[in-house]
Amino acid sequence: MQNKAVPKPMKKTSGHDNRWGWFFTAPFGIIFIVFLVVPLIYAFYVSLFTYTQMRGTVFSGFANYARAFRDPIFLQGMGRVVVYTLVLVPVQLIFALLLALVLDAIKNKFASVSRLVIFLPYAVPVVIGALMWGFLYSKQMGPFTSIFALFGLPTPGFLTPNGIFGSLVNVVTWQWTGYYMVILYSALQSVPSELYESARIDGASEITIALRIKTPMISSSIVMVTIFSLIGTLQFYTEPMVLRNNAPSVIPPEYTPNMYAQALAFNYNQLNYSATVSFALGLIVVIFSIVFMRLTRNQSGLED
Amino acid sequence: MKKSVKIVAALVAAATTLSLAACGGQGGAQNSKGGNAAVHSDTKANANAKCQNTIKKPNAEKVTVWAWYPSMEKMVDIFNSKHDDVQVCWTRAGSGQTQYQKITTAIKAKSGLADVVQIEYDVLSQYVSGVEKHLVDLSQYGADNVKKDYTIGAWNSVSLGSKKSVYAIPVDLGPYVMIYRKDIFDKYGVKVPTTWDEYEQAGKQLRERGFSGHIGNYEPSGNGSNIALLAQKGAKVYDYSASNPDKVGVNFESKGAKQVMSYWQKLAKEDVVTTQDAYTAEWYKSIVDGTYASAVCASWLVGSLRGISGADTSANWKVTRAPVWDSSTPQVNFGGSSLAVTDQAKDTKMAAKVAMELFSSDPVQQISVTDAALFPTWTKKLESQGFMDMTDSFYGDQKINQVIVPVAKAYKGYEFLPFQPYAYDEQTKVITKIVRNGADVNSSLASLDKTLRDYASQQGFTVKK
Repeated sequence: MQNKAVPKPMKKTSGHDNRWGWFFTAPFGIIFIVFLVVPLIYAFYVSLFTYTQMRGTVFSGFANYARAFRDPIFLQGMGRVVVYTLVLVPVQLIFALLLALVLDAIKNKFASVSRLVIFLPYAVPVVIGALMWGFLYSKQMGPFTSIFALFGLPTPGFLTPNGIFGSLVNVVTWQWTGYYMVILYSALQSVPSELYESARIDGASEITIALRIKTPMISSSIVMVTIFSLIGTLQFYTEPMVLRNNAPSVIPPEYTPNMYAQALAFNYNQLNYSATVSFALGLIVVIFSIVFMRLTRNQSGLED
Repeated sequence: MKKSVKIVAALVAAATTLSLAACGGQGGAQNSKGGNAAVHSDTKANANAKCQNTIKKPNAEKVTVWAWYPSMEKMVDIFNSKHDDVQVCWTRAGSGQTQYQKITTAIKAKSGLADVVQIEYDVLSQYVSGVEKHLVDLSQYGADNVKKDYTIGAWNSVSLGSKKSVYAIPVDLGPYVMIYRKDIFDKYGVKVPTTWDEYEQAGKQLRERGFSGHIGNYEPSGNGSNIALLAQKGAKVYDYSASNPDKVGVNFESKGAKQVMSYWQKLAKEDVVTTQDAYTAEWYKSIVDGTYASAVCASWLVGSLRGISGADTSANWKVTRAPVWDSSTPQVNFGGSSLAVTDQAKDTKMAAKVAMELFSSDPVQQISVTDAALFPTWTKKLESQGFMDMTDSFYGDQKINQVIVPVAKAYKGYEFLPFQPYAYDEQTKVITKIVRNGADVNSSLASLDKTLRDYASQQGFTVKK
């Protein structure tokens, strides 16, 4: 009943604040260190050794890195994901931006339903999505054979050496565009509408507003989406891995650098070299990201 | 504040590096060159092991087993009910590659591996070669005494070319045969081929007489099926023996290998066969829906056809011998697996007993050949009248084992490289180019030889000339 305790005056020393700061960041910090920093250090450590069947594990310094950057399989895989990046990043970005702008312009029930429908593929787990497309692409089980037959056309070879690139681009675009669209759409919601009103008074058309006002206003989100898409594509793995079951001779086991790392570690028993390949890939992704962020410094608002 | 972050980071880094260094040191000490796989004798270690089957005698010693055989639970139950001293604790740890990945992980972690594991013949040598040996030589437990109970081919596949060593106990084989649609061959009045020349002619005739499908399919990604096709021409492409464990031979440039590859390149070019990938859902379906008039395949496909949906119900299937080149063509095999004892077995002796006895009894073999459709290597089953007279309604009550058993008995066994998964992947790439893109046979096979020989030297093996 009685409040005997006299409230202590808050001591506002920086040491006290610091302790609470550490306390609140600790859960994240511990997980960050245990599941990211430590594995990274370990992978790097492992990559400095070489295991061969007859000689066992020996310390080899940076020899694995020298091998990786001269390894035609790794370089081919890298080249492949760079080509995917050059196609996928713009395609996804343009679709996502276009959809976001259209949905932002029409504000009715139809727009909110469409938003959900476009976002839906992202809610499907990547493996399930890829499996589903594997069936759709199948000549015998997919619907395309009968659809194309209606027009008297032969079934396109989705899972052939010539068709596989487009097929994979399609799966990834289907899966991720909705997600990027939602990010851009929510960025558009934070743009003050006074800007549009004054533009309209100045005689700007809706298209001009979309291209000249809305798009520049959300440029930092566009940069963010591009970086997501860039990193995701360079680490391309799940979709080709799943479609490989339908076309093992079209998608070799080392199709992308990540797939190569997986094959090396678990099929070829070369854990050390696999760690090297993973680390080298990580390094390349970091370099790509930094270069991109430098180039878009003015748009991203990430000057530092 | 900055300073404290740095201190923490430094501490973490130092701690991890130290602990890792400790791991590294330990690993180095264990990898003594030329040593045998470790044996243990802890009878209680598996007492609390988790099993997929229900253990009926919880007080008996347990042996853990990883295997993906169909109907495994039934077979394990029979074994357990007949043994009071030991109980099998079985887990399905994925099939094929999935299970091998778990083995690799457990080997690296130095813990978590089952006592007994199912391993296919073609990847056996990779676990017993080089500085790390992870499968126990079972001859120390008397396994060489059961040699006479198994077919020559199966036994050669587990002894890996050495006189006395036994690295696993054979379970099943995949004798190479041909299944064909009698109704299709009859309808177009085409003779069922017995040689590869006839096969080509029959394929052309079927097409000329209006059959909309193909006589069959050639699988560039068929891994072991390509080894079987090459072996028919006497091409011994992979060469490795446990009695000479630091030497490896690769030879795709023999006359036989070139002839076989040129033959399939020609058939693919003439559109006599298709070159679909094997083991995809699509491939299974096109075998049963009448797209193909025949399939040259291992016996395990013979048993698994009836479960595939989308099958042509009017089909009249028959089994016959695989086409040959001439009367000197040897009988060949594709696939099959064995039970091996790992160096992490808690009680190695008991694990060896399980590996040797699990499949060597009549009741288990009966389930194995009926429910699981495995082709036996155990001669008491293989040669029994009951097995020879088994009929199969899917093949119009044909006594199919009268075709398959002689093939299994004539098979002598192959050798596989200690890095077979890598070799298969490279083999598939080159063969795909040959049959799909019409790449030059001689230069393609030469490049395959070079790739694999380079890899062998890189791994520290001496390459046989």
